[in-house]
Amino acid sequence: MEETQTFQAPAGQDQPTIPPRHQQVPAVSPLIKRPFDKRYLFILLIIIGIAGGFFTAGRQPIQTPGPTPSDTPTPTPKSKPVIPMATQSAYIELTRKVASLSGAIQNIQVSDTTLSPPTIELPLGFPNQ
Amino acid sequence: MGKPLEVRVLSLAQFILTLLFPSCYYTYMVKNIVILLFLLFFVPSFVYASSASSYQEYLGGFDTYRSALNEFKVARSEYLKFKTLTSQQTALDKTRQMLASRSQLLRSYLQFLNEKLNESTAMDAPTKSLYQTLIGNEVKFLNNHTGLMGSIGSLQDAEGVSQQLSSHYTMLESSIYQTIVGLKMAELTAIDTEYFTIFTNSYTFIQNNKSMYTPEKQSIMERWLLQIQNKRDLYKQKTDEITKENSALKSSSLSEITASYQRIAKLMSEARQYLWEGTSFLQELTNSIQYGE
Repeated sequence: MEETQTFQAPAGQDQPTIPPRHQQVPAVSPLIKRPFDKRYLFILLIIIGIAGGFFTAGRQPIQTPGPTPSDTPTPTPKSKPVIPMATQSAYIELTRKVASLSGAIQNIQVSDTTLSPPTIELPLGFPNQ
Repeated sequence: MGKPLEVRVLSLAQFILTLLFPSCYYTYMVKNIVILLFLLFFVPSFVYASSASSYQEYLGGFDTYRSALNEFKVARSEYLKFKTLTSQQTALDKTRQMLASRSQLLRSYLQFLNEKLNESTAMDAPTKSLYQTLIGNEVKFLNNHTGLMGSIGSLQDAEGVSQQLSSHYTMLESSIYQTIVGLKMAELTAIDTEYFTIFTNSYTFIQNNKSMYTPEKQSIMERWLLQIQNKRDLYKQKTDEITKENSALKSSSLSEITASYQRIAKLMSEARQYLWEGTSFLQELTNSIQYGE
């Protein structure tokens, strides 16, 4: 009778458990560290900008300290008395004429380049034959 | 050829008005108003454009002359270098063109000066007529000179025709400078007349209101009036010098005429400066005379 030999682990020994092949990949993958999305930064900057704008607009203008009244006020310049004739048409006409004359003198061009005569060449330059 | 622009504008206006105002009377009235407005707005612009357009024509003539002169110089140097019949003929053609454009340039310049005289409001009619006669004589000479160009058959003929202008050119230049000085002096004289009128008016105003000024103020204003008068005296001295110098413009030497004109231009500038300073004084005086003290 043929005796079949089977390999049997001796009793009392812990056998290492070999995980099945399909169990080598962990079921829960570790967390991948995603890079910071720059769009959030961009939005944040816009929000800061808008908030800054509102803040600046909402601020009250700086009040510059006004001159404090002193005991000795500055004397106001003494206004000269205008003679009654200065409001008459003769005086107004005179001032108008002076202004007109001033404008006329400013406009006059004594050395008007447009009036300069043309420069031409007179001798033809052929030798006498 | 179509109708002139003015006729077309008026016809269009009449058509529109007939549509808008069927009544004959209103159409007639409004048509007249349109014609009046047309005359008011368009005719002065044509008159104003006369000196500007003649200046543009003169500038155009200058360009033509420069171009013809350059071509003439090239043709002349080729002829002097090669002495061939072809180069001689080219030189003759280019000389004719240059002479014609030179004469045309001078005529368009004189036309421009004439328009300036026409537009001058400062110059009185007899003086204007005198200068226009001077220019007219020069234009006649140039017309005659241009007429001779048809008879140019050789380079010697061209030399002869050119020589005719050369010998007359001193007189032409003298007439041109006299006219320019006349135009500018008329402007200065008109300003001086106005200056004197304002000075007299200021003096009269102060005299009439003498009682309203303090004695100190009166003496100040009298001193200022004297200074304004002095400026006018200095102006008069300059105009006297210009009158003396003006006779040198009739000299027979071209260089003397140019130098004399430069001296006159300087004197006119100084005369204008005196009037300008005097006017500034007048402004100060008129500001001051409104106050009693």
